[in-house]
Amino acid sequence: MMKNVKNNYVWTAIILLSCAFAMYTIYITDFKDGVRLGVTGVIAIVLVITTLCQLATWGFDRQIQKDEMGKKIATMSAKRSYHILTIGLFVLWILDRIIFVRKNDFGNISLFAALCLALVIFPIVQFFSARRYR
Amino acid sequence: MDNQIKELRKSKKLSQEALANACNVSRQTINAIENNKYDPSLELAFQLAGNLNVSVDELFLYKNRGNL
Repeated sequence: MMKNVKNNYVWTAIILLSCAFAMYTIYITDFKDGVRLGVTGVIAIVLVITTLCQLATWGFDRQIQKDEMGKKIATMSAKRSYHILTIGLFVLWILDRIIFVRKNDFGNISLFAALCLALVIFPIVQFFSARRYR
Repeated sequence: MDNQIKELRKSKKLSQEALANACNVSRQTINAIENNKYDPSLELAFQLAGNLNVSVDELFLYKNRGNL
């Protein structure tokens, strides 16, 4: 059982890494030829990175992901990701103002709205979560 | 929190895998608990104690750092 899981893990890792290598080679060649990377290209890169990270963390043994330690790891990672994302949005909003020399107060409205939403969503969710224990 | 899981498991000739299966968790979780890298939930602590035929307070030793 364990050996099968390990074999599957190794084979999938090899296939995924080969796909990633092939994809990046194509992108680099395109870039050198002056072809710009499109939205689908970026999404493909993100998907490959996400899959590789998931595979490196959990492998194929779903039990690790589902048991209490796995859930704790996921919860902790989600909290850290939220903080990193909020800081990232703030940095992007500032950079956007500097690079594109925005004249208005809000800078990039969509980025500003996303930043406000990121800041306000945590206390709201926390408020409703805390009510369950009162 | 220190624990006696490794010693008790070995005395009962159980593998990490077997104990993990008995407690419905992964082998990695048992390994992390044994190495004091993860403190189990109360439910898992009782399951571990039950499977090793000891009480929870025999299995886990809480290091009280105290405030005094």
